[in-house]
Order: sequence, then C-alpha cells, then structure tokens
Amino acid sequence: MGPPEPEQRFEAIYLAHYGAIATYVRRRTDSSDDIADVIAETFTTAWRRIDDIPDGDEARLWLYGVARRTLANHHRGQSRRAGLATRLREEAADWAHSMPDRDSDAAYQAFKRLPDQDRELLALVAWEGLSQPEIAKVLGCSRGALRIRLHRARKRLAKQLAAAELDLTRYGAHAVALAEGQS
Amino acid sequence: MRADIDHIVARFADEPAPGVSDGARELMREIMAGPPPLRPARRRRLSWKLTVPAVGVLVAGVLAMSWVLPSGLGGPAPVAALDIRQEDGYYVIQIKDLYADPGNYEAQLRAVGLDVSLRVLPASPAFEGQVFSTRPDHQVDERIKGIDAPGACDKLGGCMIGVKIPVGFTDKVQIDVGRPARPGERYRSGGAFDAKGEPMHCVPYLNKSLAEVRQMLTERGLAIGEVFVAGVPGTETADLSPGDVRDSWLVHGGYLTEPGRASLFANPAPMSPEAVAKSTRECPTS
Repeated sequence: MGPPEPEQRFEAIYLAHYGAIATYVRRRTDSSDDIADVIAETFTTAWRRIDDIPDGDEARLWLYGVARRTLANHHRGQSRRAGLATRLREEAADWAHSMPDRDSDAAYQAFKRLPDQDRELLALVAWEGLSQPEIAKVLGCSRGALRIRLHRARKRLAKQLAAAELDLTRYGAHAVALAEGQS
Repeated sequence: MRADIDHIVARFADEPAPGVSDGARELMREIMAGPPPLRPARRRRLSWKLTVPAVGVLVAGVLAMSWVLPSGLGGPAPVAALDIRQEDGYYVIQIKDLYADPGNYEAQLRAVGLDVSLRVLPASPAFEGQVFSTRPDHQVDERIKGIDAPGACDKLGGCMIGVKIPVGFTDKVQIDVGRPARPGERYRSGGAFDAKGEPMHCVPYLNKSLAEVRQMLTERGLAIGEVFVAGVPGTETADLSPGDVRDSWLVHGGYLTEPGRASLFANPAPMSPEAVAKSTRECPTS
C-alpha cells in the first residue's frame, strides 16, 4: 500500500481539525460572511498544499498558521469564494447571535487597545491553549524570541488595565505586580 | 505567575464554533471537488488510475478499454469522448464517454481552441450531472453554462446533460462534471444525504437513535461507514471521540461516501428544534 490518497488524508485532517480552526477564525472575526470565507480559504489552501501538511497534531499548528495569514490578508466584507460555503455562511449567521456583548467591558477595551501582535500572542495562549513551543511553530519564530515577546505582551496588557483604573486586585495579585513592573 | 493575565484574556473568547456541521461537510466536499492539490502531475495521474477498482472496469466494459490500452498497441480505435457542436455562438459539449481518459477530453477541447480541463468525478446521486466551472483563481465562471435536461429537476446539483461555452472563449478554466460512481469508488463530489436528490431527502431521521437510523439506511440499501461526533452549538464536544459512540446516540446528519455506504454524525444530545426545522424546511410537514 502506498501513501493514502489525498482525498482520504484531507478528509481526516479536515474532520480532526475543522472545529479548532473554525473556532480560531470565529474568535477573530466579527462578520459571519467573513468567518465562512476565511474558513473556506484556509481549508482550500490546505487541500491545494496537502503534501506540505505535517503529520499528527502538528497539522493543527500548520492550519493555525494558514488561518492567521488568511485573516491578515482578508479584507472585511470581501467575498472571494463565490459559490463556496453557502450553507456554512447561513450557519455562521446564527453563531453571531450568541456573541457576548463585551463592548462595555473596560478590560476588553484595554485588550483591544493592544497592538495586534500582542493580542494574537495572548489569545493563542488563553483561547487556543497553546504552549510556547507550539506558538513559536505557528508564528515561525524562535522559542527564545517568543518568550520575550509574550512577557512584554502580558506586561503591556497589565499596564493598559491599570491605566483604565481597573481594580487589578479583582484579577489577582500577579496582575498588580506585573503592572507595577515587579515581574 | 502569568495565569492571572491569561485568565483575563480567556474571558474575552467567543464560544467555540460548532463542530463539523452540515455546512462544514458541504464545504469539505466543495473544496475537494475544486482544483486538485498542487503536486507533480505524474503522481496525480497514477493515483487516479489506481482508484479504479476491478469491478468498476467490468461495469464500464469496453468503453474503459479505450484508455486502459495505450493507443497504437492494436486496441480498439478510441471512441470520441465528447460530442462538440457549434450552435448560436456557443460550443455545445456533451460527454459521450463518462469514463474516458481526461487527456481524451482535453485533446478534443483543444482542437476547437478551448483551454479547458474537464474532469468527470464520481458524485453522489444529487450531484450526478452537476457542472461546476472554475477559473484558476477559484472563482466560478458564469460564462460557462450547463444545459438542463428537459422537465422538472429534483436534484440539488441540477440535472445537466452538457455544457455551453461561448465560441472564442480563450480563458483557462476547469470544469468538473459529476458522474455515477462505480461500486466501491469513493464520491469526489456530494453533500448531505438528505439533500434534494439524495436517498435520505425528507426521511424523518433527525434526532432518531443510531440504531433506528441504521434500520432506515438498511431499507435503502445503505450501510454505515464511520460515525463522527456531531457538534452541538453551546456545548463542548472536545471530550467525546468516535470511540464513545453508542447505538443510543442521536443522529444529526450524514453523507454518502461511496455507493451503498454513508457516514453519520451523532451526539448524545439532540439537535435543536430550530436546526431540525431548518434542515427539513423543503419537506412536507406530516
């Protein structure tokens, strides 16, 4: 037996990682049309480059990397995949109803004020639950550089929270220490 | 140390997206029916030929011989794979041999000046005859039209008997046409098995137990292949794996993978009434 047919491999990768990638995209996009488009674009790239996808769980990190670049190149409201993902688009329209109203949350506003790079680093930790070596793979940087960038991102958020005069003690002693530069 | 900041950020996360939903499965099929992976052409062609099972060759009979035997070795003279006529400013193209070597199609199309790659893919019943034309940038090309069979059409993918391409059309384009699959051949194009034209269309199977749905499928000559964990909005399915599936689980959907075989999506929790209503909106209410 030779290697699996590309169709079988793609199906296996798609079914295993669709949920993680759809969640990743959903958490970074406001419009349901954009969500469906970016998911479609990400997996179309995966299909076209099926031979480049690493095996096992590394495939998920590879897909996060593709989704990240797709999001960065996707302009809001731009629909490129006419004829694709029609049903997914309808479904995504329903997801939007359950999005929490965070706009009145001052901590969220502080988070939104961070540079994009910082937000993405913090989100990959807190939303995707990735370890530092995994994040380094998604972003294509060294572990050392990643560690420093992540520390700075956390520190900048702590400062933003302090600047918003949020009661950091509500969030724990460490956030206070971080904002005060003791960490 | 960093846990506090990370906990704050974690609060901002939207809920996880639902698992592999109907729309997600449809997208998967659409992507695979589109332009093929970027890989060396030789390898691709080889694997394509290897997918033809022995039984299929018997069923396809003499027609298949025209591409199994290399020309020039005394095999039968190749039958024209396509019928191309010029009519009202269009080339009207009909496929005579659904199982021909793709090279035969392309040679005939090039002879009339069309840079068209034509693939005839095994498709589930609703997509047999579907014509899907895409440009190299993956956009659907509206200038290429399917020719509908006369009469009403009860298939989601349409009921087409040919393609019309404007005379003088010089762009590069890929056209995928669905054909019936041979026994044992996996579908390359398809959708939910309750779509219009598929065997479970308007069969009340949603939220029935896996055991009950198995019976319904058996009655229609279908066996269950794999069962996947269905996503349920608002719930986390990450801790469920296909190994947890039980006959008591409720079925949320399915699709045909090859003639006589279907994969299902199931979950211990039911589908919401709204989702059921949406999936069955084309069906008469009982």
